[in-house]
Amino acid sequence: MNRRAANGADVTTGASAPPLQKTTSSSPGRSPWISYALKRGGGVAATFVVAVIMTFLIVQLIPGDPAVSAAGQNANAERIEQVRQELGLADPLWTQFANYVGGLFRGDLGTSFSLNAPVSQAVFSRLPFTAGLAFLSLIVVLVVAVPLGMMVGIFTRNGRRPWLGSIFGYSTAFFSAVPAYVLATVLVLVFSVWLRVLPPAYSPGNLAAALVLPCVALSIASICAIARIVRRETAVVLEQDYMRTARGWRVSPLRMYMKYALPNLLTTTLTLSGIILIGMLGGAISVELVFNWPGLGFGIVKAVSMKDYPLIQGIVLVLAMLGALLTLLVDVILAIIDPRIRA
Amino acid sequence: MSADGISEGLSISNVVVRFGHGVAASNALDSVSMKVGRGRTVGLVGESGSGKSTLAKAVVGIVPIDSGTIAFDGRDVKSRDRKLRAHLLRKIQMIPQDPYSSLSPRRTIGQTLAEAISPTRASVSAHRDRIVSALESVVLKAETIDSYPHQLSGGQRQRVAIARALIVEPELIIADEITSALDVSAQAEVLELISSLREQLDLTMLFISHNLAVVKQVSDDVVVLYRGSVMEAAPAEQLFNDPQHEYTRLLLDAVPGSSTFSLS
Amino acid sequence: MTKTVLEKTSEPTVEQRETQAPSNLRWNPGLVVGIVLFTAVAVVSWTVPLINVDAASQLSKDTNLPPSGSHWLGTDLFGRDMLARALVATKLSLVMTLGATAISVIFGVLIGTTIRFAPTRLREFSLRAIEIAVSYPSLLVAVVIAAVLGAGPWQLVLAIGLSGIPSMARLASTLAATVYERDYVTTARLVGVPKRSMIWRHLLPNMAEPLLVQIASVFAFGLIAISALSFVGLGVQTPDYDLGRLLADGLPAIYTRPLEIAGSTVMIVLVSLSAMLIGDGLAAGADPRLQSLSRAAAKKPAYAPVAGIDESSSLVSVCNLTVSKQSGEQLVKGISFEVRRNEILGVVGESGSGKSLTAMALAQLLPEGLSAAADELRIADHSMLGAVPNRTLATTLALIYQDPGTTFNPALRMGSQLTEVLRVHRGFSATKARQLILAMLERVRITDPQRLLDSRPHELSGGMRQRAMIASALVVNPALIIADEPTTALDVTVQAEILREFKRIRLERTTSLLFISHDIGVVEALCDRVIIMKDGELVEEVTADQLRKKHVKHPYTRMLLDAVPRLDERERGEK
Repeated sequence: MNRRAANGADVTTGASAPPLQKTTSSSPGRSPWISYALKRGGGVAATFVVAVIMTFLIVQLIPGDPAVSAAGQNANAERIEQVRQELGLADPLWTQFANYVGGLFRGDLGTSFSLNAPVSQAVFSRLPFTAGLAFLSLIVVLVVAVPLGMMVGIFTRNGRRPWLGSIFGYSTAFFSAVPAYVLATVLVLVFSVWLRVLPPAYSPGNLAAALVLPCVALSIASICAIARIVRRETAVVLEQDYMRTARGWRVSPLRMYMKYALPNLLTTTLTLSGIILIGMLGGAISVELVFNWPGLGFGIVKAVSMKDYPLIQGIVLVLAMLGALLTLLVDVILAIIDPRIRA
Repeated sequence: MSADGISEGLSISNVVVRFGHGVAASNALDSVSMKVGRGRTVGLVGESGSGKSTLAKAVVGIVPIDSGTIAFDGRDVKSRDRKLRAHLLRKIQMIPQDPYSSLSPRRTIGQTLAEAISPTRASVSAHRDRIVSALESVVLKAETIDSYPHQLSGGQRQRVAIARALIVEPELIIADEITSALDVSAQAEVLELISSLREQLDLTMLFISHNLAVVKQVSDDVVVLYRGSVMEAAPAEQLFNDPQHEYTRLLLDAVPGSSTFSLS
Repeated sequence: MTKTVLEKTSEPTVEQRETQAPSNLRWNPGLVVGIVLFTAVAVVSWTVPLINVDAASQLSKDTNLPPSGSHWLGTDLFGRDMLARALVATKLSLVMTLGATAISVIFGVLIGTTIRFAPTRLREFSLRAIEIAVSYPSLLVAVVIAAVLGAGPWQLVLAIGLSGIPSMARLASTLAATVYERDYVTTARLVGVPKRSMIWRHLLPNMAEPLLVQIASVFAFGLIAISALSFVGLGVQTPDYDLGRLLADGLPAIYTRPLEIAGSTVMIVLVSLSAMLIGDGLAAGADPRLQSLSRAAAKKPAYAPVAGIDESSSLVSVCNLTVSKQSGEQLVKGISFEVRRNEILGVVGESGSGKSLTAMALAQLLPEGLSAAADELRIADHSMLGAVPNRTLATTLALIYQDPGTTFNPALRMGSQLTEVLRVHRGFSATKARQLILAMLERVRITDPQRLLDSRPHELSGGMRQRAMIASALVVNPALIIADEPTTALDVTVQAEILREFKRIRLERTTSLLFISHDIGVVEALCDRVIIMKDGELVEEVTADQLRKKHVKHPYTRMLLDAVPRLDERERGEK
């Protein structure tokens, strides 16, 4: 019996090792980057679709008559009818949805009652403030937390310097437990009221200085949380077999940490950090309030209190997309560092 | 293979199991057919990627098959009839490979065995005698009934796993690489136990291993698997003394200590 | 959010496994502090207002007082005692957070666990939906829900509760999947344990710990979120107040009466800090790896002084080597052996025999916490008892390990790793190093060495990785190669190939090989001489020929030989 094995490979006698066998099953001819981009792009698109549907439903889900709430306290029946027509609430559901989506593609997000201006204008004038704050904080967090966590992880590995471990542990626990708005308030107290070195609120022309405190308030909790993760991951990575191999090659410690350990620890860190970084966007909502920062977070609070539904819809949509972009950015960084993700 | 009792025992016909989808799909099992006759032990041998574990999981129903049939005593294991399937399932028992995860770490040995006897109530006191005799049949002391898995060695845990499989009084046992994670001396214990149980209980067993020497020690018949296909199937004596297929010969040549092994 | 990492590591060998008790709670200072703090705050905020009913709401004429004996935190604009108000606010915040956490946890776990048992299509869809849900900032989701439901405390509880469900569901579903795949669950299914019993008896108890950690996180974040939303006005409305509202009330006065925010700030920090400490304490207690972080720092390996160098022709000389733990327990109990030039010495033993530790001690690569001592520990003319320059170590001694799957760094290409020693310690340029390793890869019969160098470890098969490891060991032309179970993780046909490689090394070069294995058959076939170890002691030293003929003296060696199943019965004793 000299059958060929099922997959056609010839099983011959006394041959040398089976041929070079690639274990990944990537489709031939297609660059891994393209398939990865497609996959992630699909994810963002899905997020967008869901966000559109959800924001549309906001108005629909409101108990009671949205036209009444929108028209305000002192509206009479006629005014309420007028508002109903304006909001298109009299149309059947599908028409409303179609109009909504159609409007989105045209860039028309409706009209805000409280501001008496197009929502798109209100939203896009505020967007740079929130986006700027968020991305700046993201960079600060990564630049501070990763080296910090890694160094502490290295210096405290295998039980060295327990005092350092304790200080780090407790202080990061403390600061990640403080809500951003509380921290913001305390920062204002210390730096604006007592020390008077930094402005307590935004004012045009003073952007750089005004950016400092909100950024710090927003980043600190994330820095602490991520630094803890990095430290733990450093400890885990240092125990891996491939680090033992590097020690066998008698690689210098610095080279071991930077070349061998760092890429692996970044992978898990970034994976776990996604949620934390998104939480930062949520924190922006309250932080902006403290600093009178004219961003989307501040905007949505006002919109909700005024029950300005078109404005709420617009801001939620843009905030959701901002979150999706942040995640995408983190995932792209991840894919650059760790090729296994691309496969 | 025994000529009589063909419709009895385990019968695997043209089973195909696919993994992955689209371009990346591959056949973990490609039209595999074999039989385990009543009272016989069939050794299933293969290297990694051969599909032997997949086959074991397919027989017990953990892995779905894409085509083909698996029948025990003439009855299809995958039949639609739920009662029939449930009835059949207790007749087929598996002993897993890893002694460190095959027993629930939070339950005592007694509780684990009691659960096997009576899955719903799992009361140790009600079945104490039966549990103790099961432990003794695998050469473990009666006190083990109150121990937790982490207090036992790898070999002892495997023996508990064997006891658990046997206590259900199954008609077919699938032993999936049960000695691969054990030290040489623990392995010898377990193999000795298996041998004596085979005699005493007239077991019907599918014994899976990558270790040819181990398979030779416990099997009546041997099936050789490579990349999801059966290369050769023959009674053990015949296969080891006069292998027919190239791959079987390759395998035998590769085992240090075999007469055809050489390092030059 | 702290999250336990459910990592899949490679299967440890029988030697490396720890037979520990299942992670029962291990107390640690953080956990204790957290629990004490939390209980204290909860109790105080509950009881004090009950005793002192009116203090928080009672208007009085003592407005805007600074802290004093009768009002520890002073009074506010309306003369109300700030401390009392802070305590009342804490109680409300706690209650609301508990409610929201309960919603998130109960529904999240229910949904997550049920998904695992749902039909495939539904499961895939639900998991994808959860992934999308998780990617929205939960605070934003809560704001949206609050927008829909209107502002108010119970709406807030519902909003935060609902927004916390996706992350809880995701964790529950991942955990359920992991636990479900464990062997003991599989065997329970096979004996017919009904689904309901399965969930209570097996799934939930084993999911409990990581879930508890996450629950603590959810609580902490819920507290922060609820107070944040109250702070911005979407939650509790006046005259009710929780910690967020209280802080918001005090904010306008921050310039003139900064201490007014003290009460609520301190309380909120205390509560969320205690919740986090509990969460981290649980996580640390459950993860044995984190346990080792708190062990006392390992001393540097202590080597006994050299008692005089033996001038024999052996390449490696080990004399009275002991390896001990910090507690003093000896894992290798004074063994002596030598490796001659151009010889393959096998070291055989079962788990716990100390064979790997012996080799690692020789290589100065003992794990932290262990120390070695010996009368002599020599490779060529270098004493391994003192400091040896890295360059010398790297070029005199090369190591090959057991599991090719984890030996190489997954983030780097093979080329970069295989040429490490050549570039760093031998000073070759990158190009020259690449040339050298390519040549060596060809000699170990890799068919496409260029492609291998450009690949990453996970793209190669186990056999290829092991060959690459051998090539990297040979290319520096070491005097000694230590191979620690190099073929144990390989298929038998691949093992035969690798063994042939080692044999070629023996025949074509002058490198000596210290070959460690638990497989006596392999060692018989490959090695010139063999030492057998048991429980840290050297039991016997024989030649391979003696092994094959079973001319051994020690009963343990005899037992090992007898216990190994053989393919060929005719071989033994008769030739």
